Amino acid sequence: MDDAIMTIRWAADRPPTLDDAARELSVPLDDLDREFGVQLISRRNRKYAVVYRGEAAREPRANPEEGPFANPRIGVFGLVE
Amino acid sequence: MFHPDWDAMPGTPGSYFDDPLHPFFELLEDLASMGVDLVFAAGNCGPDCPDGRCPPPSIDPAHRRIGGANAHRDVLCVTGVDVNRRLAGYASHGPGTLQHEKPDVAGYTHFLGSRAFGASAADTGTSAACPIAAGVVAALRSRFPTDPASPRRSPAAIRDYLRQTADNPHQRGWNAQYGFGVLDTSQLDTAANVL
Repeated sequence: MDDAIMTIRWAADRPPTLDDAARELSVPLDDLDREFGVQLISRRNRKYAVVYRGEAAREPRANPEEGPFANPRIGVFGLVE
Repeated sequence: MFHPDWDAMPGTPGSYFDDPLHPFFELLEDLASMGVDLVFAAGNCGPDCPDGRCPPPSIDPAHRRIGGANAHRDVLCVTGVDVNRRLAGYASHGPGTLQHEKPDVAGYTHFLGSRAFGASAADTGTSAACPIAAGVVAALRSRFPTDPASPRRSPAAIRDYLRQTADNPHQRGWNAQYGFGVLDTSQLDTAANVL
């Protein structure tokens, strides 16, 4: 199954939980990566990111700011000796 | 670091850097706005890269560009030269996909450093040049710390200073191989005039 980054804007004084993010994005909580959790992306814009692993990972959302965005994996590349 | 899945979305054409809304860019911009100096390697997919995972330029020239967050405007993009100031053949060439004038500068690579791969094995790649440049930035910051109230101390000002003082062995100004030239630490004593 594909995964994707999704983002939310969060105005409350406390950081959002994964539950909060699932509600904001209207996705099942179980489709969000608990290990990744909720990560701050922008203090200025009060934006947070989650990793979504659900069926809608490739479907555009009404608000393009929410994603879905590529979640590039990282691996070794180049002149490995 | 690289993975073939660095695309716009799995199975779709393009790459994450084709999406201006990608949160990675917002993260970089947020860090820069807080006064964080961002230093990235240009990458090792240049025309002479011997690695079989790099497609020949004739087949996929776009793959060998500086195409990623290392071409972001808020980043100091560092290519690599050897101790004789020859460009590393594998170093990715500009222009950048996000900002045209990338790389910004060249730092030294191919030197005996970490010896992580053996007692006589040099540290290689633009990934080795990148921390050299980061060290130069850190040396500047030790004298000219970030001051949010002063544009003269912004990350952009540090980048501009390093570009302006870089020594381009071939021509004045920017070119796609060396950027604005090789980092020239002999110029650092002039920094107080501008930072």
